Amino acid sequence: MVTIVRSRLLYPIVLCGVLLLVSERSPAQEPELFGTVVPAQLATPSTRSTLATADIDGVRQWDGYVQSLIRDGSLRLNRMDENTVIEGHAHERFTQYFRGVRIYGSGISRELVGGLAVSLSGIVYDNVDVDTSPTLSVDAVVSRVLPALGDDVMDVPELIVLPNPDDTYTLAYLVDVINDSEFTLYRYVLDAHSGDVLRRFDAFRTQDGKSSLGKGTKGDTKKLSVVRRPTWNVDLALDKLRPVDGINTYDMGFDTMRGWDHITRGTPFKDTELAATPSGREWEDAMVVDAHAYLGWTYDYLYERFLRHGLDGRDGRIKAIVNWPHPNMRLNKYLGGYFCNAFYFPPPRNLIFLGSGLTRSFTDGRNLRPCNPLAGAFEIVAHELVHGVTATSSNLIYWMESGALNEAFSDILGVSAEFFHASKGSGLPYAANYQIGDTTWVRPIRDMADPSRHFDFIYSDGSGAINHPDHYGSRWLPTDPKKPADAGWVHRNSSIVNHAFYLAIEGGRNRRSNKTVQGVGASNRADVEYAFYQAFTYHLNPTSTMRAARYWTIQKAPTAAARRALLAAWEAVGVHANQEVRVKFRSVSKRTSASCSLAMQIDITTGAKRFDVSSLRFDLHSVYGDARLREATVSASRFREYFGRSSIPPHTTVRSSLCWTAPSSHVSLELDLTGRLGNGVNGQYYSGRWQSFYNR
Amino acid sequence: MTKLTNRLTVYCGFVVGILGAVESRSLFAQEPTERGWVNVNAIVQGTTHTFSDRVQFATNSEEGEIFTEYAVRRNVVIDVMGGVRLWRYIGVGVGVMRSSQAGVSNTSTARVPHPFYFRRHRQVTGPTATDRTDTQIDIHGTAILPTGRRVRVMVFGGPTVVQVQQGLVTGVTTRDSYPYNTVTFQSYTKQRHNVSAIGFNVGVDVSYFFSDYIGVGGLVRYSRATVDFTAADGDTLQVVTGGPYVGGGLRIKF
Repeated sequence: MVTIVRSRLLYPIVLCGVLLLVSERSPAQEPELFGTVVPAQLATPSTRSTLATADIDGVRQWDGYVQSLIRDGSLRLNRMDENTVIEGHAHERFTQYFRGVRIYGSGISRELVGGLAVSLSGIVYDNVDVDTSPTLSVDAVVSRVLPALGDDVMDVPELIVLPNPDDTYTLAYLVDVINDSEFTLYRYVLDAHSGDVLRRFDAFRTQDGKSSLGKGTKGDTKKLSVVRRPTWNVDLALDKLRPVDGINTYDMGFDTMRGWDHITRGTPFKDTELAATPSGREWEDAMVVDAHAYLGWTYDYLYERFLRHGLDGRDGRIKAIVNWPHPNMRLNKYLGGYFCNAFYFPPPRNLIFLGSGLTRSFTDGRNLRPCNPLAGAFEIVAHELVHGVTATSSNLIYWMESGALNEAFSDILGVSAEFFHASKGSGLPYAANYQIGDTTWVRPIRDMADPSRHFDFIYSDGSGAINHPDHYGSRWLPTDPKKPADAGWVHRNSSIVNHAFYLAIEGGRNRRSNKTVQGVGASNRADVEYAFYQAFTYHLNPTSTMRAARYWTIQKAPTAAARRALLAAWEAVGVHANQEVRVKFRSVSKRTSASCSLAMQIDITTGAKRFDVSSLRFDLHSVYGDARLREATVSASRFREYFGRSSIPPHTTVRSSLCWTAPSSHVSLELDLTGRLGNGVNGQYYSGRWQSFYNR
Repeated sequence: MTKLTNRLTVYCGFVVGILGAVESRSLFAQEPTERGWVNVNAIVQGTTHTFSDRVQFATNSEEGEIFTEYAVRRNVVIDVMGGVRLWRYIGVGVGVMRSSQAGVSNTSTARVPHPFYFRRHRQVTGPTATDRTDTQIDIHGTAILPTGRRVRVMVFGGPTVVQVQQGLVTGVTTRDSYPYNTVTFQSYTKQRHNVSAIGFNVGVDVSYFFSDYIGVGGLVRYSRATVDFTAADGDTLQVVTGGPYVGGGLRIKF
């Protein structure tokens, strides 16, 4: 909300208004203060405890607390796994409940050796204060969402306690709503009293593919593990050679409604729906061949590298569907997007879908880009299966930063599986690389080596390029926090983690930080993969952040060289160990005023330590093409003028309202705060990237 | 038959040539007195014959192979030769030798295709014992070169009929389990082949007689024949048999 300018601030505004005219030519123009400075106020200390420790003293201290929560029933064990690589290590996963209601996103992972805790990670919520008696019953919720939001609900709505960013709690319902007419499936978080939508996000874990021109079927011959059914005289795409309880590839025969019912309502699959070919004859459906073979290849990678038994670590059935939906749905608003896409649908479905592709002849004249069948790209098939690994281990919520980690882990293991099989000569029909979708579209959709080099394109002619961030400071912020596009840009912000992974192996320089990393080298890539696998499957939790990923990957690095490389890589991409000062856009809005076209409110909140500001940098870019339009650095003295003080006490929030001119309407803005903490440690903190336009 | 006829013609011509040469030389020597002879020898084959066989098979949508090396080693066998003098220095004879060996092959190495990936064969070596029996019948013309009352030298040569019974490995059974990076050897199958061929033999026998009838002697002989086996996958496997032999034993003349 914009507040009225106080008269004592008029003089600097006029002065700066003059300067703004100059700023059209000078890129070093500071933003202007246009609103009130909110006096520093004591922020309420967080009611959540974020645990991440492998230090013995820390573990002892925290484990006592965790034990007390287990005893009083607040923490309930929901899974225990033996570490498949480190003998004798077991991992317990707990979920926190408040008066019998699950706290959404809570979770503790505890590593045990001989019954003793050796590491702990996750989030527990302290001093939770919320009434757990909902005003709306489950039936009332269902009748409220139906038919307003859709046609059916997937499962019985679950009552949850939803932690809010401001450390308050809301009693809510979690419900997946199917909309048959629009072919949408959204997960809603609804207020349990008012029924208001608190959050909405896509229930699919998508590949987020963009259409582009690509080569056709690779024409390579693969081996398939199939089952012969003599009574039907057919071979079925059912893998029984691997120890998994079947890798089942189902052919939907382009029957739109049949596939939709399987995906959303969990209609049981029949054997007659398995892809089939006459006994002994070569398989001719390239989609089936690639999907079925690559799912097996991914299983093999997970087993041979990490001794993991499949998607859930317990050899649970892996199901995939191809040849869906019907081609006449290519122009459907929602289903049309799935011809050039793939998704993983989380438990209890545990279902992978791979789109059929779009031909160039079909896309000509339409604002669509062609793509090859998604099953033809091994890293994409592996990516989707690894979503299942995440869903049955860390269960990273597909939302904001944890969602970006979820996506990144799929990319990382997808690419790693590709390199693994390339090195083994398994018959990968193209060269392994760090790109996602490079054989599906004419351009890759993500590039770990240089995320900013590859773009999403808004328009089919290749214009409207939106680059991916390669640095934490450039992470994309949601335009609408309640219904954020792409669940909070999970497919873009994943590039930060992807790039750290790349740098830790191959080494190189980060464009934004200009920091150079000495990688472990391609021959030692397994060490970095191991660190990521251990961290993401055993130590991260549903709401983990990139900082937690940094901590645990470094902790789990198997060699000193890998540890050094990972430390340097995370530093290079701006994910620092210390992130206790938060820089946040409270609001940003565009205005028509020539001198104040971009109005913003900025909050800066300290943690447990005092923070002395050295500078605050403003960085304005074009949304398309990422060209830098303007930058400005505010010194400590100007900061004091804008925010009231430059030395911010612990647990305090300072706020300021500023305005700036933006030479283009499609801009993005980032803030970069530097200073020194009370303990003398220098810190650098980033707001992330706000963008003025572009909503998928 | 043409091949056989040609070989017989060559070998017989060779023998006739030798006998002719001896006969021309014998004009200046004392004529032998015996009507016939029997030689019983213990002989050693001078060389080890080796051959190998690759059997191709199809499994897991790809071709695999079994490689087996066979070695027919030096072996001591009993050889019996007998003959009659036909005219002056010239006679004809026949010799029979039978040799049996176990363990002609000891192991086979199988390369088994991977069920999921091309060109990622798993290799395993396992015991595959086979045996062999060679029966050799030498028919020869003989020239008797008397070098004194007690010493006798015989030169002989002629066609050889060889019968070889050879076991060949035709398949192996392996066991594997996920992730199928290795296989373990379970068992093998073999087929016994029985083939014959015509070859030749030449040799020299030197005897010393203690009396008019009994003596001892030694011989050096070279024989050679090539037998063809039809392997399990239909290929023809050519195997050489024979070679140099050295031995000695009892000599009887009458």
